[in-house]
Amino acid sequence: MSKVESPRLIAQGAIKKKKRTMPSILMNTKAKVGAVIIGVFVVIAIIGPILAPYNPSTQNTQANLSVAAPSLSHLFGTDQLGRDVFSQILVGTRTTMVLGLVTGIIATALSIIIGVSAGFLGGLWDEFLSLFSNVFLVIPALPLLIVVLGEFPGKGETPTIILLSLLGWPWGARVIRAQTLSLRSRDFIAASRETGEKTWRIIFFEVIPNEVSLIAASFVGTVLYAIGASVGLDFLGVGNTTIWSLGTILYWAQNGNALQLGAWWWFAIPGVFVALIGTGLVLLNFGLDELGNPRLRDAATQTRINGKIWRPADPTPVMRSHVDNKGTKDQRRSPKANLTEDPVRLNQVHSSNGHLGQNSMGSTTVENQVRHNSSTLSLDQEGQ
Amino acid sequence: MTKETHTKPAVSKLDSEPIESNEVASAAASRGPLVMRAEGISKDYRISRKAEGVISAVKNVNLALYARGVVAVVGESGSGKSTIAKLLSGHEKLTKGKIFLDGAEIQVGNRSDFRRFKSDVQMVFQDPFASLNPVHTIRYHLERPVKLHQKTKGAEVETELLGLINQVKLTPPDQFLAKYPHELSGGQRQRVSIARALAAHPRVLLADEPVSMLDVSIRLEILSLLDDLRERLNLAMLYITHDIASARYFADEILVMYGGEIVERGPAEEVTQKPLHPYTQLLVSSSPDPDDLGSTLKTGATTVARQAGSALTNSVGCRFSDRCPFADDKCTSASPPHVMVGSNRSAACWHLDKAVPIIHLDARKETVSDTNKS
Amino acid sequence: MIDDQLPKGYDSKPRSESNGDASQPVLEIKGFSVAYRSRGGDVKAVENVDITINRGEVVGLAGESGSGKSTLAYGACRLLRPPAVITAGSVRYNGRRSNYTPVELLDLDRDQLRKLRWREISIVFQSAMNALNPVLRIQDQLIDAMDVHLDLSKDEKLDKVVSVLDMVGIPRDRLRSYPHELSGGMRQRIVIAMALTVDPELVIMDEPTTALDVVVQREILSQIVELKERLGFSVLFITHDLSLMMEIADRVAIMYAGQLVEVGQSTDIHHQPAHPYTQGLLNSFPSLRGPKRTLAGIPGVTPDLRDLPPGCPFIPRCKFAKPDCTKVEMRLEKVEGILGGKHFSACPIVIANNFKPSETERAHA
Repeated sequence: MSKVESPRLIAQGAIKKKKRTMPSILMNTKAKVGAVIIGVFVVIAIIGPILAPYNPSTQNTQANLSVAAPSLSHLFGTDQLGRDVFSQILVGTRTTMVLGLVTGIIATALSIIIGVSAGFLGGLWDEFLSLFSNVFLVIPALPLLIVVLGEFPGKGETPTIILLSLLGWPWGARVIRAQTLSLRSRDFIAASRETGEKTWRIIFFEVIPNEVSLIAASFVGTVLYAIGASVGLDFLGVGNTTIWSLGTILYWAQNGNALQLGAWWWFAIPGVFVALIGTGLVLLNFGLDELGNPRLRDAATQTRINGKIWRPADPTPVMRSHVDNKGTKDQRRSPKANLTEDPVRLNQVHSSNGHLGQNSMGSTTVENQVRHNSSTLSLDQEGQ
Repeated sequence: MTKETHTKPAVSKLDSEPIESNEVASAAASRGPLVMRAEGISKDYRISRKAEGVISAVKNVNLALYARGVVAVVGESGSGKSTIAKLLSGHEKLTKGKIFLDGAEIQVGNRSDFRRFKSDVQMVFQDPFASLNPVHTIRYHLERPVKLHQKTKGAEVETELLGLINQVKLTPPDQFLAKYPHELSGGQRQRVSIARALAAHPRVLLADEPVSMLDVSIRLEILSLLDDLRERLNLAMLYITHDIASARYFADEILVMYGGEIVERGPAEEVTQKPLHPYTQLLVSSSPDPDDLGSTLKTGATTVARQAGSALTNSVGCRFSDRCPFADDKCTSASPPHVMVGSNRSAACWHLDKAVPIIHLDARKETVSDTNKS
Repeated sequence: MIDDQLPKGYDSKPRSESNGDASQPVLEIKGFSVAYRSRGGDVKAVENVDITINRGEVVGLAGESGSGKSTLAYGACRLLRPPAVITAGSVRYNGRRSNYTPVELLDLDRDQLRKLRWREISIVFQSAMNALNPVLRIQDQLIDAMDVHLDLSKDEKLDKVVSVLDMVGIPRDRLRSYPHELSGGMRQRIVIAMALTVDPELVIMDEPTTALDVVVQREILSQIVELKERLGFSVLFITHDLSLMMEIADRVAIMYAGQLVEVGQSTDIHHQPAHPYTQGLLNSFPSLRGPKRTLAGIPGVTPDLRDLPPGCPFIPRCKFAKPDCTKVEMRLEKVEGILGGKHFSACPIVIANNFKPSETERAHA
């Protein structure tokens, strides 16, 4: 890796490289929490519509069921027309999740194709593709979406997916291009050329496998973007309002004056669902990021040793493991901060505490050994 | 080379004739037949659009590699020694010059040409931590070249793999095949790197600083492994290094590079023991020497600090002239030709008589003294 | 007269006080152990190391990567980050500005250490030349380096920067350069100048010239030694290059697997290495001068610190190993019959063989 190593890295190198364990993604707390949240929502998306107690579109004309508060028969209450919000959410979650997933897959595929080819092939090809992705980056997405989607009313979610995919790849492509550029100059790429590998094989078997964590992070980010954008569009009524999604529930809630009616369950619960999905994805993304970039992880790490928290900038903790019964422990508890700027005073404090250097040492088992060794070791003193 | 630029007709026609380096017999030639030869190879890098914005990384280098022989290229960083390896391995295109393999000039037109060329010429990279792909097993790293170059399948591949692992002395072989690079030590990785290069059954092995990233206690093992391989497999070897002491032990011939040019060449022992060129002398005297216990370092007698010369093509004269204690006007105005000293030794310096008085007295009496009659 | 040459702002306190003579230890490390806490238990990176650095002395610390030489140096300054933990020992610093009263580094807190570190003990890190801030001019970086510790006016600071750069042989027209405009050797000189700006007592140099070419390396090292003579600081010189170390160091300590295996004057160690590992190391360097020797190197790989065999850690690679070696307690013993008697080795086998260098080879062959 890099030649500039922190003392810590050097020292860790001293202990052999850390073993790379595949489930290391699960060691990261952020990623773990994110994965659990997203896992729950994936389950909801898969089995939700089956569990839905009612058809989400079935209207109930009974007066007491219009905008009814949550109850046992309607867990999340009902809307204006007496439709079951719980069922709407279960069905809508699937729509939203599928949209996010499909958009994520298409957009990530585009960003891999464009990013890797731009980064690896370089030259004019790179200039062209970079220009291309920059153009896409500066397109004002929301007005474009509103205008274009307005042209396809009632066509399901497909137009939304296509449009969001087309708008969602440039960011990932840029990141992947940068990574590819740095991988391209690595020795193992030169070595596989030396072996006589074809370019496509180098790209697919040498470059891309090294970008997995980046691609995963980019995928999660794109899914997040797609879900956010589609919920927003649906809420604005630009998308297809006849389909149930988390966005359209909010749209109908807005239309039915849920806020004014005080029907919190109608807008708050789908809102919380959207927020939870977003949170889960963001956590997952952070986790993946830290996984792909250990420096982020190191910077944030605080270590807990023997119940005390140590931050990276703290001096190396001293924890003598062999403490005998002569009370060494007490003497080690040095006067905390009665030392001042002046190094001379600093030492005066210590000389008043002078036995530190002489007597307190050597009373632990390790230090007994030290005493033995030091008689042979203070070389020059002994020599003279 | 620079005949036109000579300001003074200081040298008689016979002596001024720049002696083409390929006419200097290589000290490695006695080892075996000629395999690969580079003739007047140069590499320029353009750093800006201006005409003078060209760095000449390698300038008019001749070298020859012989089966079972080791030629060492020694120089400081930026001297162009790694560029030579890249040129010979086909990773960089030549600006000028020709490379011959078995007497035929190498023309790498398309990919299959390149692959055929790679079957003969393989390179070992410097950094064993960077030259193996972290996502692939050792088996993958070795299997690919075997499949590409040996056109073998099935069980044969397996025998070939085990053979390779055995050849580089990684034991037990079957255990190493399943490992990932990060599970190996630096020395073991470099062995895998060497095995990968050998998988193509090459005849020329270009080793670009193969041991500089390794621990000192491991270096020797890798070098003796390479030494052993060249004997057993009849490899012609190019050893690129900044460590002239290791070249003394490992190589037959040493080429000393400075600023993209070869300034001195000759048998390893002679170059290290009686360096001719002032740069080689500086290099040899600067190398750490454990026997030098009364070293100048202990007393702190400072040597003069000078900066390395620039490698721009438009600079005329000897590239070492700005650091050279013997430099005069001649050195800054015309670049020196290679002067032959003995059958297999030469150095490019105008003032070999001052740099090496002893040479002046015997071997080069006629020619060198003529050079300086003016 | 030395003081006349010293840059302004340097302490005028003379180094040659009665109790500050050459045998006075500057840093005394005793029984020092560092471990890395990990899930699989502690990894003992440095185990029970004793080493003393005296005033004005250059002590070399050599060993392969993974031997713990950097861990020892950084650990003694408490620069290692958790999960590194100092598990035992004492590190006493004894400086001229502290009236030669020992300070126990392991008892200091963060602020005290910060005051002590650059001012009293400065460190030239490995590849530090690449760690210069690329967007700051050289002079600003040098001024920053002394700002924390010295209370000087702007002009005084500039004066001092100029004189420090003079000392390391950098012309003053480079003051306003940016790091990328300088060669690697110049940048390394600047890093060394930086370490010397506040006139430390001890400079720890971790592979200070490894990335440089031999010619530049020699220039820089001789400059360091010259400055050391003039300013009187001590140097802890860490390197894997034993041949270089033999040239520069007065005393050499060899580390293997986190432990010291041999300590002695560089002449003694060079002529009469008393530990098989040192012998192997010395025999790993091709020599440039003199007759060609048969080089052997050291077979095998560096041990896994998590799983050290009992006894001497060098057993798997040692050609002299005997069954008894597994019971050896790693402890430096005096090597008898050697010049000066300041030579210690942790190999009782070689010592017991009435160690004589010329006969060792024959005895064990």
